[in-house]
Amino acid sequence: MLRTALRNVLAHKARLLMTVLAVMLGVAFVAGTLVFTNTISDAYQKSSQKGYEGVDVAITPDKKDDDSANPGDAPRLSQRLLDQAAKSPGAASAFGVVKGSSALADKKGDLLGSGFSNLAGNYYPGADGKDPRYTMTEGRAPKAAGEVALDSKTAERGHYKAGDSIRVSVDGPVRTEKVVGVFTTDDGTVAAGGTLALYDTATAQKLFGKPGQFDEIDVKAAAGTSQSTLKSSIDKILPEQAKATTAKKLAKDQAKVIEEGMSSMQTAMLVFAGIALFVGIFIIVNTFSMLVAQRTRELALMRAVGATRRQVTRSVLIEATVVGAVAAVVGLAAGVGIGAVLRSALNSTGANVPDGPLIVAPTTVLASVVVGVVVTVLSAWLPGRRAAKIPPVAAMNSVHAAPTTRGLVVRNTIGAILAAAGIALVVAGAGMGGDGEGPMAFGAAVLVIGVFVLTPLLSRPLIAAAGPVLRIFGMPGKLARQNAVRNPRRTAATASALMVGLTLITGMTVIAGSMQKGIDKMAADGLRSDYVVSMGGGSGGSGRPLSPEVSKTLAKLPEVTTISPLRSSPARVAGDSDSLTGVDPKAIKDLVKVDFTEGSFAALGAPRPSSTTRSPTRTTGRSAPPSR
Amino acid sequence: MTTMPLGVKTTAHSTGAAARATDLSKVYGEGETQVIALDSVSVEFRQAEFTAIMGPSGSGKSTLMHCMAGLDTISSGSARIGDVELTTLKDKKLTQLRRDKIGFIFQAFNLLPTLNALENITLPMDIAGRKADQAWLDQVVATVGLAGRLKHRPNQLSGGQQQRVAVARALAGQPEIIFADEPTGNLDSRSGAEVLGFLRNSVRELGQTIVMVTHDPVAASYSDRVVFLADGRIVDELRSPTADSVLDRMKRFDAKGRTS
Repeated sequence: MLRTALRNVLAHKARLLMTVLAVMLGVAFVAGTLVFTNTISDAYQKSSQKGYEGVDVAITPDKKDDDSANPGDAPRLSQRLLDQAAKSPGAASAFGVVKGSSALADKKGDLLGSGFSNLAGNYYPGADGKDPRYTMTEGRAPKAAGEVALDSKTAERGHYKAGDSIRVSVDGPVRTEKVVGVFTTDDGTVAAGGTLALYDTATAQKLFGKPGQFDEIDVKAAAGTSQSTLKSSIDKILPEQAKATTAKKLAKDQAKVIEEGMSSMQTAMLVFAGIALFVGIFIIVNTFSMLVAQRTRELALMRAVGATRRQVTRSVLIEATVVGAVAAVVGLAAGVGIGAVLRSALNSTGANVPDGPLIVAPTTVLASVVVGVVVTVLSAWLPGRRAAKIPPVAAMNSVHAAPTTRGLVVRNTIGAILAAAGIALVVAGAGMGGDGEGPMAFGAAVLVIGVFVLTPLLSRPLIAAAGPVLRIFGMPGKLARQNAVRNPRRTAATASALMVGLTLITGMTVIAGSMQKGIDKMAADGLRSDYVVSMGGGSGGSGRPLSPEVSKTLAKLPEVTTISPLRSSPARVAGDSDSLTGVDPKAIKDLVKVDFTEGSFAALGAPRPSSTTRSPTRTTGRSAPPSR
Repeated sequence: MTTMPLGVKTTAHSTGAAARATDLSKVYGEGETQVIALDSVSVEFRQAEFTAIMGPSGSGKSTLMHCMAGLDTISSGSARIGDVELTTLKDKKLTQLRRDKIGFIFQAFNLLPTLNALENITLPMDIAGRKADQAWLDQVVATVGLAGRLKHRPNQLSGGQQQRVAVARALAGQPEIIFADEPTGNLDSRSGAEVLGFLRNSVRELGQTIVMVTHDPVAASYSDRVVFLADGRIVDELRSPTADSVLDRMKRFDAKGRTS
C-alpha cells in the first residue's frame, strides 16, 4: 500500500506541484516569521546584555506612581550621590550618566537618522581615562565645550571623521561643533538606527539643563562582590526618589520588553501565514479531488482485488503526508531564506538590526513540519473519503458512468439558512447602535460562510451572466460555459479558493481605508493650522521644548499669519495628575478646534486660571527639525 | 484474516461447488425506470471447472459475474463462494473475501500503471500484508512467460502481455475461484488464444476454478461448460463446447430475438 501511494506521488508530480506550492508558501510564511523574529529578538537581547557589561548596579530617579503631591518627573541624581556611591562598600567605581538628545545634520544640512532617536550623552572617563561603555575607534574622547564624538554608524552615514565640523541642534540656535572622535557602542537604540553624540560631562550637563546632575549612576562592583550585595549597600545611601537596580534585572527587564515587542509583531505576521494556509487548503482539496476523480478506475481496481475502504483512504492520506512533508521541508528552507532577506531588508531601510546569527530554533523546524503535514493531510481527508466510496464495479465498466450528481437541496438549504441568519444578525446589529458590534461581526461571519455554501447555486446565474462575454470566443467559449455549469460543486470549489483570498484582501482594504479616513477626519477637525513645528528625534527628543527663538523667527516670516507656541507641563488638578498646556490665547482659536462643553476660548488670557484642555496637536506627528 | 485455507486444491473434475447462486435477482432503479438485470437465477460453478457465461448484450452476464464475485450488491436471493453467503457480509468482510478467495481478470485496465509487472502480480498479497509463496510465484510467472518482463511498467508491455500479468495476478493468490470478464476482448486472436490457453491449463493442470464472461464463441470453446443467459435468465447449457456448437446456439438466440 505504501509503495502504491509513493508511486502515485511520483506519477503525479506535475499535478501535485500546485499543492506543494500552496503548502510551501504557507509554511515559508510561518518559518520565515519565526526565524526572523527569533533572530532579531536574539540579536537585541545579546546587544542589550552587552550594554550592561560594565555595570553591576544602576541608580535611577524613581517616582512612585501614587505620588500625586509632586507632579512631573523625579529630581535627577546629584554629584554627591555619585561620590557616595563610588565610596560605598563593595563598589569599585561609579560613573554618572547624562542623557539628552542632539539633532545632528549631515553635510547637506539634513537630519541624520531621521525618524529614529537622536540621542546625546556624556563621556565619563573612569580612573583609566576611559568610559567602559564606549570604545573610541578614531580620534579621542571629547574633553571640552565645542567638542563632540559620534558613534561609528552615524559618522559613516554622514561621512564625518575626526577633525570635521558638524552642525548640531540641542535647543536654541544651531551650534557648530568639532568632531574629535568616533566610537562604537552596544546601545540598542543606536544599533536600531539612532544617532548618538557624546560630549564631556560638564558640557552635557550644561547643554541639557542639568548642571551638576545625572540621569543615572552606574556602579561597578569590586572583585568578589555580588550584584545583590552591592545593591543592598547602595540602597542605604539612596535618597527618597531614587532606586537601585542590578544589571541582571535590567537586562532581564529589557529582554522581556524585547520579547513582548516581538511577540505582537510575530502574531501579526503569523496571521498572514494563517491566511496563506487557509487559502492553500482549498487548493489542496481541489488537487486531491481531481487526482481521486482521475484515478477512479485505479482505485476501483484496488477495491476489487481486495483493498478495504480504509486502505484506500489511507493511501490517499499517505500521498498527502509525503506531499505535505516535502512541501514543509522546502517551505522551511524558503522560510529561513525569507528570515535572512527580511533582516537585510530591514538593515537597508536604515533600521540597523544588531548583528547576530540566524536563529533556526528546534520549535521553528517542528512547527513548520507539523503545520505543513497536518494542513495537507486534513485537507486531503475529504477527497480520501470520497475515494473510498468508489464502488469496485467502477473498475469493470469500460465506460464509467458519471457519478450521480447528488442533489444540492441539502447544501442549498443549509446555505440559505446561514445566509438569512447572517443578514438578520447584521440588520439587527445595525439597528442596535453601539452595542450591535458583536452581533454584526458574528452575522457577517455567518453570512460569508452561508455565501460559500451557496456558491454552487450562485454559480449558475453568474456564469449565465458571463455568457455574452464567453460568446465572443465561439465554440471554446460555449464549451467553457457548459463545463462550468455541468458540475456546480466543482466550479464552486475552484471559485472558493479565489473567493477567500479576495474576501480577505477586500475586507482588509476596506478596514484600513475606513480607519485612515477616520483618522484624517479627526485630525482635520481638531487641527486648523497648516504646520506643526516640534523637536525632531523620536523618543529622545519629542519631550523637549523648542527654543523661544524658533517661535519668534517663524512669526517674522511673511508667509505666517498666525502662530502660537505650545508648552505642556505636568500638573496636579483637583488631586489628579494631569497635563497643562500653555498657549497664545489670541492665536490658538484659529489654530485648533476644541469642542467646549462649557465656556469658550474667550476666557483664556483673562487674569484667572482657566479650564484645562488637552491639545490635540500632540498626536498629529508632523514634525520638522528646528534647524531649518 | 480468514479462517479458511487458501487455494482449495482438488483433483481435476471434482464435483463440489466453488460458487453457487440461488434465486439470485438484481434490480436496478425503481418504479417505471426499473430494470430487472437478473431474474431468479440459480446456477452452480463446480470446482476445477472452466465455465463460460455467454449471452447477447444486456442479457445480464456481466451483472451475474459482479454479483457472484462480491463486486455488486444483490437485490434478493443468495450468492455463495464456497460456504460463505455473500449477502450477509459487510463491506469489510466482503473486501477481504475478494482479496483472499477470488481472483479477477478484467477486459481492460487490469493493472495499476504506477506499479511494475511483478508488483501488480503481488498487489493483492501486498494489500493483505502477506509474503507471496516464492516457489508458486516463480511457477506462475514461468507458466505465463513473463520472467524477463517483471520489472516493466504496464505501458511498456503489449496488450497480450498485460493480460498475462493479470492472469498471473489472479493465479498467484491461489484463490478458490477466478472471475474473468471478457479477458480477451481487447486482444488480437493470437494473444487471445495464448491467454485462453493459460486459463484452460490452469484448470486442467492446477485444478483452478474459473468463471469467464465472454461473447466470443471461440473463447467459449476453451471452456468445459457454457451457460447461456438471456433477459436475466439461464436459458441453456452446453458441455464440452466447440466454437461451432456455441455459434449455432447463439444464432438461435438472434433468430428468436428477431421473431419475437
